[in-house]
Amino acid sequence: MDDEKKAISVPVANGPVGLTIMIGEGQLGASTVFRGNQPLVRGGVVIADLNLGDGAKLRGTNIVVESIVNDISTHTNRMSVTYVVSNNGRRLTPVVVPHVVTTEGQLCRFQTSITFTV
Amino acid sequence: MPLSNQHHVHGLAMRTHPGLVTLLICAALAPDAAAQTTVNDLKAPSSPAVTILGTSPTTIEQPDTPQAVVFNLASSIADAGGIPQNYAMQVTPYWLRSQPELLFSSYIRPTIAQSIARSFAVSVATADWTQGTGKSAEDLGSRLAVGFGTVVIPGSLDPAYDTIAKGIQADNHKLIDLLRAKSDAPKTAEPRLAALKVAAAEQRKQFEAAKEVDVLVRTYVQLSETEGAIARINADVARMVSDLDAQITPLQASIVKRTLDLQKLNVKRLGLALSVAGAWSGRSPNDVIGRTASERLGLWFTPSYKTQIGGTSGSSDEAALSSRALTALGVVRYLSDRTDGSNAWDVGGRLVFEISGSIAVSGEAVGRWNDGNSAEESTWRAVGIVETRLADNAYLFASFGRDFTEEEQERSLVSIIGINFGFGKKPTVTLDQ
Repeated sequence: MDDEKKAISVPVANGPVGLTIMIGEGQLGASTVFRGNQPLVRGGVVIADLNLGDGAKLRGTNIVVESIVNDISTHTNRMSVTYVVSNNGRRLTPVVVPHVVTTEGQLCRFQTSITFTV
Repeated sequence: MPLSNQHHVHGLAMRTHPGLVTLLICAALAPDAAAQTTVNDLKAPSSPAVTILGTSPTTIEQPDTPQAVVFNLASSIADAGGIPQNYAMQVTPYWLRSQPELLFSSYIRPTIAQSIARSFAVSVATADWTQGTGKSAEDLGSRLAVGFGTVVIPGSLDPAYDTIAKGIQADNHKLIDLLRAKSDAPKTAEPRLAALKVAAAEQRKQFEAAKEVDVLVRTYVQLSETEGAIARINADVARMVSDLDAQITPLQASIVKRTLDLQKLNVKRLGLALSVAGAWSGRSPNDVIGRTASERLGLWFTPSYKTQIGGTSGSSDEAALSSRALTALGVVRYLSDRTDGSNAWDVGGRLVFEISGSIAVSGEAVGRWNDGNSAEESTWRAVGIVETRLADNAYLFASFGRDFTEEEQERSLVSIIGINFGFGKKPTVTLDQ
């Protein structure tokens, strides 16, 4: 199984912080968001606007998003997972983590750590 | 790829004319390119530029990035020192770039506009333009072709598709948990191991420093017990990892198998579908592009309707992939040859009965109306085909009927009141490509 690891630092201000996770390229998949060992949410191809709490409390902490993406596409072996953090309703720059599987029908494990900073 | 003359060149073909039996045995299976469609095929061609030229390039280049397109063209032109001969390339512009915003739901159920945009493919092909054969052949220049193809209506997914997809997603979550448990297994033991290692180091010091026999014995026993505890924890972790691997490996294999089944179901679509293709070819005297003159023009409209027989397949991927299906395939085709001024419209259809995943029976009838300067009158062709899959890349087929013209009847596996057998690498009637 392929593996894609990424660490992201996101500066957040006081106020509500949200997270959207999208599996792209038309591929199937599922994601779980963990805080420590505790799963915050389990979702499918899209987890939209997950409320992570207030930025003031999040700074200095991190969450881990674990996704398994399945190559169901007959057009491409490309895969991607896009992470969009929002703060006070404002969407920050999306981070796209790409991958290409070399074997048809393969799956890839995406592990992305998002650390909230000042 | 029914009834194309390329099927002559591979496997075993037996032709039966009234009163005459001819057995043709060819040495080897055909290369993949031999399975290209011809202008007479009922389906819209997968590479229209190649089809309109009527050539069989050994490969059709399919670059999947803009850089690869440029590199491929540049290297082919450089290698040939001009227009490359017997070259073919097909690109699907939409898939040349990454599509991180394309979601699964939209990919599998596109609107008509989305389907056209995502499946729109452009093909280019070249061939040598010669007159005469053998040593007397004269090189006149090059033949060039450009074509396009797109799926306007892709058809509907098997009802089992969504059930299988949901099952995969549920198992993805199980896999995430198992993989985390596996990577966490050593970590859960780390605090206990760290404490025991500190204790062991201390006990080792005491043992080495001991001078009294009873202290020596006591520290030795303590050290042995601590080292034993470390070994037991390490063994427990190894056992835990091994147990998790025993769950992860089959789960992963099952997910991959069902993912491949989804790919097959995405191609084996049901209901109404419509494909459109077109191609133009020209001749360039002495390879001078500026003097290129039109040669042929072709347009294909291929509507089809596929239904499962015996109800829907339910939730099983095996059942969905092996169920009986009936497909009605229509064709409206326009072919214009500027070199002789002939124009032909073909209108017809085919009925395909997929008895199982590996056996299909089909019958087709196509009428041809010639106009312009064509010397031929309107004609027709009617063919029946029985086909069975022997292995992944081997098909046994039998066909009978009549083709449009005497010439085509001679070239193809179809003969007047004849029957033909052959082995091929590609299916002749499968509609799922």
